[in-house]
Amino acid sequence: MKNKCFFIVITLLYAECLFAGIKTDTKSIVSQRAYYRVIDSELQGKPKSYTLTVWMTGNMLALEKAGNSSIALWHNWQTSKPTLFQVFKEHDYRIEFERIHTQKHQRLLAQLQALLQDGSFVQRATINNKQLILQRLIKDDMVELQINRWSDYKTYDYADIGDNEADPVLAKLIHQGFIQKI
Amino acid sequence: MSSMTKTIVVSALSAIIASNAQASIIPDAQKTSSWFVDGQTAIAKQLQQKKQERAKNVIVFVGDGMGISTITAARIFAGQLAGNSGEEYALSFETFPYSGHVKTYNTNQQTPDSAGTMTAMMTGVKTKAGVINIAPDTDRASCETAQGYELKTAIELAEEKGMATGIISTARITHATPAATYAKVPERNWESDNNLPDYAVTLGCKDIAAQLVEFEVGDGIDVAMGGGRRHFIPETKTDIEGKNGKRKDGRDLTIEWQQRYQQQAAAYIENQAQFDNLDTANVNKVLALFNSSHMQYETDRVNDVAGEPSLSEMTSKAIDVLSKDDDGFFLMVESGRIDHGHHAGNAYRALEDTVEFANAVQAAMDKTNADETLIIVTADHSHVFTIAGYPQRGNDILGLVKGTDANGNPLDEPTLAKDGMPYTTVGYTNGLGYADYGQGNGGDQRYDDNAASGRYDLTTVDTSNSGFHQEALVPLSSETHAGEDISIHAQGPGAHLINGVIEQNVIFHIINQAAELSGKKYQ
Ligand SMILES: [Zn+2]
Repeated sequence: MKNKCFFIVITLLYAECLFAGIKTDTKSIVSQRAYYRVIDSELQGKPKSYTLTVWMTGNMLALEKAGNSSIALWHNWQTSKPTLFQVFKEHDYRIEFERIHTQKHQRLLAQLQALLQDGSFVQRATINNKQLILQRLIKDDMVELQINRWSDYKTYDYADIGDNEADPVLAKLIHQGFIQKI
Repeated sequence: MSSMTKTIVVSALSAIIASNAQASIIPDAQKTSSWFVDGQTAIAKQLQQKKQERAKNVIVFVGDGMGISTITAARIFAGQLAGNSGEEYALSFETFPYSGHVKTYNTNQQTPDSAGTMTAMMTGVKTKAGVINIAPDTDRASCETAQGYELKTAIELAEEKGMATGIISTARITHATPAATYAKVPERNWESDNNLPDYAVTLGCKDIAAQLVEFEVGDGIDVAMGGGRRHFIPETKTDIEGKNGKRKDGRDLTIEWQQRYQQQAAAYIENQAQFDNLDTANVNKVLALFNSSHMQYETDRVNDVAGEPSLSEMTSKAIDVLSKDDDGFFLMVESGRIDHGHHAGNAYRALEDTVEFANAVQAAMDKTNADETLIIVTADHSHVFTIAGYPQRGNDILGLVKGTDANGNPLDEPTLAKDGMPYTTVGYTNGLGYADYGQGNGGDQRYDDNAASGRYDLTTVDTSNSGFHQEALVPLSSETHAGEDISIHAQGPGAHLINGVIEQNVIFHIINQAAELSGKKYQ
């Protein structure tokens, strides 16, 4: 076991210990959304740019790329055990991932977390060799409302997709190959 | 027949086989062959089987998605892990004296799902895919038509008879297969109230988790171990692994369960340490929810946040608790994630979980007496998982096909297909297809990695890694179940009733016949 806490035998202490590992103060975050202009100079030909929206509340973080039909959403994003969802905004559906399983995702989340300095989004950053320039920052109730709406979407675990082809929307997503790059 | 008469008959038959072999002049190279000798031993063993009628205890093992190709590949996988060539290896339940084939179709689907198939096994009645313990006369996901069509399950009959009862799954304990032992719902996804439509709540339909905790027959289910904690706790509550619950009605069913059994020796547990400390000699009721959703694949268990036991450990402890009841016990054990490994197109996880499933069966064999305990091992359905090509004997079951030369001797280099590329022995007819996440964690899930059906050059890829995903022909975002028959294996009283090709609903009647669950036998 990686967690040192595991070796504490007394059950209650053990539970406390785990909580200590994942609990952080989520109240300090003001719900906000940041619109970044992303300049991707790695694309062939001339540099291409697009808009990336980062939605943030105390326990939810969402990444929306203009033109993509799906959104990446992390629940409990400030803890060491965030849960990743893929949100399909056109279908009102979500896929829940059991854990963030690749270093690539861990790095991406860490980079997104780093966009927030002293409770507010930074003006400029570089993620995966892409330049991010803050265009607009909005702090309003709409953020909480939108994230709550996404959270209420019909949700299936990644592991349960195969057993739910009877769900016509999910079947459509299954047969079309719904996986999109962030 | 007395046992002495039986012994004489067996000896006489063995002598006839031996003398016939000699009388017909079998060549020395043949009769001294280990294959020939082992074959004779197998017949002698079968002749010694005594037919026993009355089972005190029943254990039903279900490998979710464990089709015959999965069993064969897992057998080779296990044999190779033990350092042998693999093909000759036998998984624990493959040593059972009786087996048969099972037709798995649902009443509305040629290729079935777990809800309809487990309903057949638990009630003796086939139904529609997605429907749990509701007769096929009704529609899926229809609360209003379900009422009045509820079916009684083997666990209910066992509880009525005063037997101890238990259910174990590596999936969520509210998932289709375990749910079909205790719940009655027209929709398998109604695991907690958040997925239940408002009209269904109004009409009195209940979610699966609530049905488990409120199970009224007898004194309730005695042992329930698995995943699915999120369906028992409110969405506002974060569990010990940092995951939130799903319930919108605010109920905490883990607390309700503890309140229900507060006058009894009951234990609610959530992690490995608590499991290890479980006092099986003095506890009579156990609710163990080890994970928010499904429990880990066997290969990923080491990375679980709070720690969780293996399927064989759970089986062992459940039998320790249940076997204290003099009236006997009924236990259902599901390996729920063989199915998920296959759906993900990740044979490694499916096979390793199948091997652990066989270990759990062995644990049950070690803990029980075959004269009084009927052990049935089966699956609910198959997967489109194939063992293909002409790999040489002992070829790594997860490796590239390496054939034999014109003299039948092994070749060192992989066989090349017509496209000039090597190919793996095991593969899938459909699904996401090829991916290589290397050795280690999380190889089952794919996020920003598109379906990659068809052929890829695997020359330099280590296809035996836990993160390797086999190639697939038809691109789908999830590999599918398959419609061919699955197998059933049994030992103990009533096991002899299993042979031939049977409908899946017959399994219930075999259990009922052996354990007299409904009070008396049918004949
Ligand atoms: Zn399945």
